[in-house]
Amino acid sequence: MSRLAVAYRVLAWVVGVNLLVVFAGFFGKILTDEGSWWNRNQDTFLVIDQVHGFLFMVLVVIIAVLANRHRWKPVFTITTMLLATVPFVSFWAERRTTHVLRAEPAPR
Amino acid sequence: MSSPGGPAAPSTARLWLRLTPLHLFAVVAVALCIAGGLWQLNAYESRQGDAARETAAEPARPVGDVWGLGQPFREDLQGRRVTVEGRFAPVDQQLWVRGRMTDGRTWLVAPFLVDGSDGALLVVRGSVESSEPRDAVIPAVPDGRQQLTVVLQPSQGGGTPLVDRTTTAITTPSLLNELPYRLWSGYGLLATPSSDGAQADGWTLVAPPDPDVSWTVGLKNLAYALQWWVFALFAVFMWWRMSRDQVDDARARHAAAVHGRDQPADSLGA
Repeated sequence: MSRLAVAYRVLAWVVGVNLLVVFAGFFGKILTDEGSWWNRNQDTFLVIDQVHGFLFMVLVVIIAVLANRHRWKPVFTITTMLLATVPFVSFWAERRTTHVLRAEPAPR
Repeated sequence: MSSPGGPAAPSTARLWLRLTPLHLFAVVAVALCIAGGLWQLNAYESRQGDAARETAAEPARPVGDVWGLGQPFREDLQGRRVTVEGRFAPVDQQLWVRGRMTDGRTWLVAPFLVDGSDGALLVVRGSVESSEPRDAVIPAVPDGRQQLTVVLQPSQGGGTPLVDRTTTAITTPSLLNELPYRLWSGYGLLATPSSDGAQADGWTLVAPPDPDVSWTVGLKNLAYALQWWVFALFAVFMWWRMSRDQVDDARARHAAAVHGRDQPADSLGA
């Protein structure tokens, strides 16, 4: 696998874990009382959210470059990007993409 | 163009048309990103509005708590509501202001001798259309001690010297020479019409300008709005690239197919 593909795998995993924290923070906030640990630490969660937003953008760019190199079909590219935003499913999407990357080494 | 035996190469328009689902998806994605940006811009603006209302809604405090005679006009005093106690200066020490700041109207300004300060705060008692004949009549000032609520504003620049007790702006440093008092370094817009005539009879109160709100209030939402629009641009870029690549690939496949048909296996061996 190319270095970019490895970068994709690592980042997809990091973004996936980060996404779980973001969702936990959101639901923790709305499902618990005002003074709960979740609500008291929303400042921290805000930073985590913003880090996630930034990393996701980097991930999307990497996916775009991979798609261009490997001449992925648009449907595959778009689903790879969108599934990275769904908790847990993002891990499956990463495996699906890695499978494809392994099957066809970079043509150029 | 195409070789006699092979099918005609599909036109560019046709190849692009085949990608219709991709085009539709791109339109939806871009529309969502633009809407997301507008939504965040809206949130930014409402935060700015909240901040402005908070400043305006702060309860009025006695002027002595926040400011003093001879002190410079601090930035945080602008738009601040304060109460002042004291007396109006004699009726003929009032002045009219007519200029850029008064927006074509005439303001009536009275020196208000603030208790315990040994100086006067200029108070705008109201405004009228400049053409009205009551311009010529000096409205009476209420007698005795008054308590007023005013919204503080900084001294304006560039007021001309008084002619017929009229100037073009409330410029405290130059009005200092025209009045027999020390002056507070800003002025107040009368905020509550009092029944005892602090608001000049028949004149309307001057609404305070919107308080300045730093553009950084709600900056997070502004940044999110820009982020959404960057995503929109990115979506357009991706759409363009994907479509172009797909069309190129289709052409290449077609060319390969035609090539294969025209020159059968012998081209390999020769």
